[in-house]
This record gives sequence, C-alpha cells and structure tokens, in this order.
Amino acid sequence: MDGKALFRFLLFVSGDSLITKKAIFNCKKNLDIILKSKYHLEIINAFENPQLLIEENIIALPILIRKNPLPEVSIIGDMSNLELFKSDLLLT
Amino acid sequence: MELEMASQQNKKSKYLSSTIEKTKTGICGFDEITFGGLPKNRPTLIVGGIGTGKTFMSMHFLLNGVNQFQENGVFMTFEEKTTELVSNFSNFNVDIDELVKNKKLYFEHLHIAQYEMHESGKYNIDGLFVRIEHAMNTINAKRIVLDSLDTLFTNLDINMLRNEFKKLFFWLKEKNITAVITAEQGDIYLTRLGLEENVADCVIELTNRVVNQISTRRLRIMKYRGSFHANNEYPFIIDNEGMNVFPIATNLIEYDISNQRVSSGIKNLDSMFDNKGFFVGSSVLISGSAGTGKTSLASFFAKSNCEDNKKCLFCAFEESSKQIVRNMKSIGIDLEKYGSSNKLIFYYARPTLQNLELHFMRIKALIEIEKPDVIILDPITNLMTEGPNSDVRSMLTRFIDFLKTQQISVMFTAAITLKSVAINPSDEGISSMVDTWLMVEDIVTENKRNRIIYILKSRGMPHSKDVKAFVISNEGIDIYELDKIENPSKLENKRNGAVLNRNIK
Repeated sequence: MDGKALFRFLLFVSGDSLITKKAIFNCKKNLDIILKSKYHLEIINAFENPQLLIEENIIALPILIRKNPLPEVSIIGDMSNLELFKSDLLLT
Repeated sequence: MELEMASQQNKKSKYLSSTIEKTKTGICGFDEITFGGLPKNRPTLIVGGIGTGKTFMSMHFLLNGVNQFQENGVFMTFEEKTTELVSNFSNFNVDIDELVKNKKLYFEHLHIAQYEMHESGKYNIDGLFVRIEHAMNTINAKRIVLDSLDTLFTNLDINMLRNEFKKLFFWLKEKNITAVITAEQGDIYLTRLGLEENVADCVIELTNRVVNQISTRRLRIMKYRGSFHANNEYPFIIDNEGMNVFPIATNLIEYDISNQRVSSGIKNLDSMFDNKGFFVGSSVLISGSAGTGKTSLASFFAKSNCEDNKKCLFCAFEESSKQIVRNMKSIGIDLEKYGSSNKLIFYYARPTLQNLELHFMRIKALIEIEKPDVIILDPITNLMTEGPNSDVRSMLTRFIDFLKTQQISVMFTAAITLKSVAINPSDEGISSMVDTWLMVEDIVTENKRNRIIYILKSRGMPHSKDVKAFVISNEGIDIYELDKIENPSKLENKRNGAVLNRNIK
C-alpha cells in the first residue's frame, strides 16, 4: 500500500447516543494506533445530513467509510475490535 | 338472550368501525372487502411469494393516492432500481416522471452491498429512519411503501434486524403516515422475518396458484386489527388498467328486486311464463345438449331487447360474432342491424385465452362502459374447461351477484343435460344459482328428430309445467303444444322417460 497517500475517512453516526460515542472513541483510537496521525477523519451526524446518506447509500449506523485511497471500503458497528478494524479496512 | 348478544355485537361493531380510520386504496374491489381500505396512519404488511403482485399493489396504492385522494406518496425500494421500477409502470396510463417532477411522488433506492461492508460490534439501522423521514418531509407524504423488507434482511444480522423492524413499525405509527411494507413469504413463519405480523396492524396475503395450467392470483386479508373484514380468498387480476379484486357482493340482500318483466322474444315462450316472460334483473339458464337451439333462443332474446331499444351485450365463447350473425340470419334474425346501431355489443374470446377471472373482469369493465340492460353468455359450459368447476361456480355466483346489483338480466346457455348432471353433480350447482331454468331436448321419433322445451324452474312466478314442442325454421322459432307433432304418443313415451330419469336422480 502506498504509505504516502493521504488516508481519508468518513464516519457517519446517529446523533448523540452511547453507540455514537463508542464508535467515535474506538475509531479514533484504532486509527491512531494503525496510521498514527497520517489520516483525515470527518465525523458526520446522519440526522442532520440525510442527503449525504442517500449519496453514500447508507442504512446501518455507525459506519466508517475509507474514501481514500481506493478501493472504497467500509465497516459498520462500534469498531471495538482492533484486528477486525485493521483487516476490514485493508489497513494491514 | 341471543338477541341481546347480537345487539351487543352490533354496538361493538359500531364502536370499532368508528374508531378505526381508513385510507382508501382506490384499488377496485379492495376497499369493499376491507370496508374502507387500509388502516389510516398505521403500517400494513403485504406478504406473498415471488411474482404475486406485491410491488404492483403497493405502487397502485401510491398512484391512486396521488391521482384520486390528493395524498403524496413515497416509494422506498430495496430491490429494483427506481428507473427500472418506473419503466415497469410506464404502460400504466400515468406519467410517473411528471408526478415525481411535481413532487407528488418520491422514489428512493436503498441497497446494501454486503460484500463491501463489514460488521464490527453493535450497530443499528438509524440511517434508514433518517432517509425515510427525509423522503416523507421532501414531498409531505401521507403514504409510504417499503418494498421489500426481506432484501435488507438477507444482508444484515437477523437478530439485530428483528429489533430494528419492531422499532420501525412503531416509529411509522408515530409519523402519521399510512405505510405499506412488503415481504416475501417465509417457510416457517408467515414471512421470513417471522415477526412483522405481530407489529403490523393489517396483514394481506397474495398468492398466485396454478391449477390445471392456469394461474390465478388471489388475495386474502389475514388480519386487520380493530376492524371487520371479509375473510375469504378473492381472485384478482393485474392488467394495464391496474389491479382489480373481485369480491362477492357484500350487501347481497340490499339490492333492489324488480317486479318488471322482460319478454323472452318468443311469444309462445312468454306464455309459459304467465304471458309475461322473465323478471328484469334475473338470471336465466338455457341448457340442453348440442344442437338443441340454445344460441337461437338466446339470439331471439337479444333481438327482442334490441327492438325494445335496450342494450344487449352478447358474450360468445364458442363461435365468433360474425359466425353467430351469419347463422342467425338463417332463422330470420338480422343481428348485424342491431350491432351497427350499437344496440348489440359482442364480446368474443376463446375461453383458453386467459383465466376465468380475466374474462369476467373484462366483461365487467365492458358492462361499466356500455351499461347494457341484458347480457348473454353463450355458452357458460365452455368456461368450465378453465380451471376446476368450483372456481367457475364461485366466479359465476359473484358475477351474477354483480349483475343483480346492476339490475341486468342475464341469460346463459350451457350444455348441461339431465344425464350430464347425473354423471357430474357439480353441474347442478350452476343451475342452483339461476332464477329460471329452461331445458331444451332432442327427441328422436321413428324418422325424425324433434325438439322439446320445458321449464325446470322459475322462481317467483307461475309457470307452465307442460312439455312443448319447439321448432326452429327459417322464419324463426315457434313453440306449440306437443300434440301438433306427428306421432305424439311415441314422443309422449320418450318424454315420460326423461321425466322419470329426473325423478330417479
């Protein structure tokens, strides 16, 4: 994998729930461990951006989408498992 | 005591029917069997196998909402792409694109591609809720369709989804929207999810069964909370006019009964019916073996009505209309004349062309356009090759009911004889539905075949018990006393034989 390419992620969450907090926390933690600070993460509240949900065709929340580099991959859930997180997002 | 209970039930029914508000679907026949449509602002589940018409029915519900009831509708599809969906309905006499442009309809395609998505830990389907709400708000929708839930189900975790769907149904109720959710029939449970029937207020089952190589669509209301509904399975058809459910007339007793009479078109035949002929709006069956003159009798009935300036619909299932016109010329009836003045309308279709429902629906549609006073079905026995006889009978019952509510007199011919009834008792079922039953028979004397005619029954009027001679010549039909035929004694013997047969049966 090209290490120089900027990693860009979108994290969709639903409001201010417990599951949202968990997802944000785990996501940041995992990304920090794997990519250090070489990534860009945007957190989007699904409730306020329905149009984006349509564009990205999202139903399940929370969801993390790796926008860059391609291919686009995604993971749903609170992302508590680091190993799954790594393999599912092709970050190994 | 019983009376008391009945009155209590009455009260209860009044109470219930007043509390449940209903949303009309505008689907022909469906609003009648549900006494007003789907439960308003509540979710309804449509269950059925592949190709049973779930998507069609729900789309019909939305389109009618826009066109007839000024209620905007959202269609969330999990299966087909919206473009595909719209093109599927392009021959539906509605410009869906235009409705979408005018913000009357809203389509959205939701799909989950599982292969590019992985699960890690807990999640929910709040995204669906957000998108549904967004769609509803965009066009201020009063109706929504989710088609179909199972597609979502195949991709996500079962247990999680069950909970989420429960949430969804309750959420929809709060949103004051009449929702239709479709789901595929399951093996163990009613639906593959096995849960939604607990949360839906109304469950409709659609089936498409093939019997004797002819498939029939059927609809049944399995559950309707807080409302009375008809329990039976009802056949329905889907064509480019939309969806049509064919209910048994629910208010059978309430239609008006006429005391007026209509002539059979043959003077001497009328004389057998108290000199007046049949009742207007009644059903007349003419039965007899092949070549006994059933179609000729029916044609005379048609002719006399046309001459009385009434409209007649002639449904031919055996001969083409041109053939009937030609043949009837030979006995002095010019049906073409009435055809050109639009007094006589022909409906001709091969029985095997389509299923029975479709025939009746087509005829029913024709009746609604042309509003005939009289209808002739010639012969009804040809329809019986379609599907099992019980089907024919229930269809025919419903059809006759429908005609009675419209005060249309119906005459049908059938190749039923006393002998055939003895062999196939179900044939008699058909005759039990008719008000008047005329029998024509062929009797062979020494060197000649003679026709006889008699009345087997005629409800509500004095009628002749005589067996009369019945002659067809190129001047028409004549009916007279038997003794005018040569060799009366032998004929009498034969007749006694026939009557005896009937008594034995």
